[in-house]
Amino acid sequence: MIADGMAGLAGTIQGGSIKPLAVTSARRLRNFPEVPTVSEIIPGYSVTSWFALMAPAKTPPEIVQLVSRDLRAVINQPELQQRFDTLGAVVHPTSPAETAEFIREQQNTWWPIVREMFPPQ
Amino acid sequence: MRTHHRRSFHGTILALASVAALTGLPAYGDSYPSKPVKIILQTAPGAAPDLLGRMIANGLTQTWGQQLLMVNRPGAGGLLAAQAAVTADPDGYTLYQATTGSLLVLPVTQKLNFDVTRDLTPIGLMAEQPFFHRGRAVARREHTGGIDRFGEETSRRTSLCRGRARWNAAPGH
Repeated sequence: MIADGMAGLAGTIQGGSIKPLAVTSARRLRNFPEVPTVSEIIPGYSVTSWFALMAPAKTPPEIVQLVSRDLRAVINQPELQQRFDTLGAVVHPTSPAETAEFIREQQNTWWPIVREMFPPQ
Repeated sequence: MRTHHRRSFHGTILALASVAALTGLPAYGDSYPSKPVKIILQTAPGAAPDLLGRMIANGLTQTWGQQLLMVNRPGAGGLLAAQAAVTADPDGYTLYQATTGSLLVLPVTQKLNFDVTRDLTPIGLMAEQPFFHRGRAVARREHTGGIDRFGEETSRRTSLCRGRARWNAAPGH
């Protein structure tokens, strides 16, 4: 059994040589609705690779809010979400405050694991 | 006359101050962005995070009528891109596509002369990419328990799964 990213797998899965058992996101994927989530068996399980738009710390808050609002409008467009589907990506629109909270939670979860995995030399 | 003018001048200033206080917008709020905006990222061109970032950048280009330029700065496990982001002018014209690699791995595995939490401000999540737990079709037939069996396996081997997942999640992106 292997866990891997979705981006390069769609063709192999559709060809039938690889069978997806489960997906690690909290929700099922739109283009693979038959593939269950791990969290349906282990509640709360969610492992994703993600990207966040950020800016240098002293960027004016008005600009941060404006960019955040327009970013959310862009990723809420159905046409963009369909193109995301082909790369196995999902959108997760968040405000600046929600993004900060998300990053904090992720760091609390992963920093100890990464530290264990890469002990100081 | 002079007194009257001064009064109306003060009145104008007060009125402007009230408007600024109500809207919370400084003078440049209406004009941003008035020139191209750069997005720095550690991913090489053509990789999934780069493609997803470009889709979003194209959307924002249409919204703003200003070009968004993807600036790929791969190398040193994301250090080069992060360094370019934290030292950029904080004027809204340089943004940064941070990843699991740059925020979850880089600060732990490398000694940085900056702090990703202190020196960067979050704007919004762009995308999430889940992982598939997959097996060869043959292996699946042997695992007649199917997904329930997989659940047991996963419970016993969560650390293994996480280990594999974080290899994928981490430095490559």
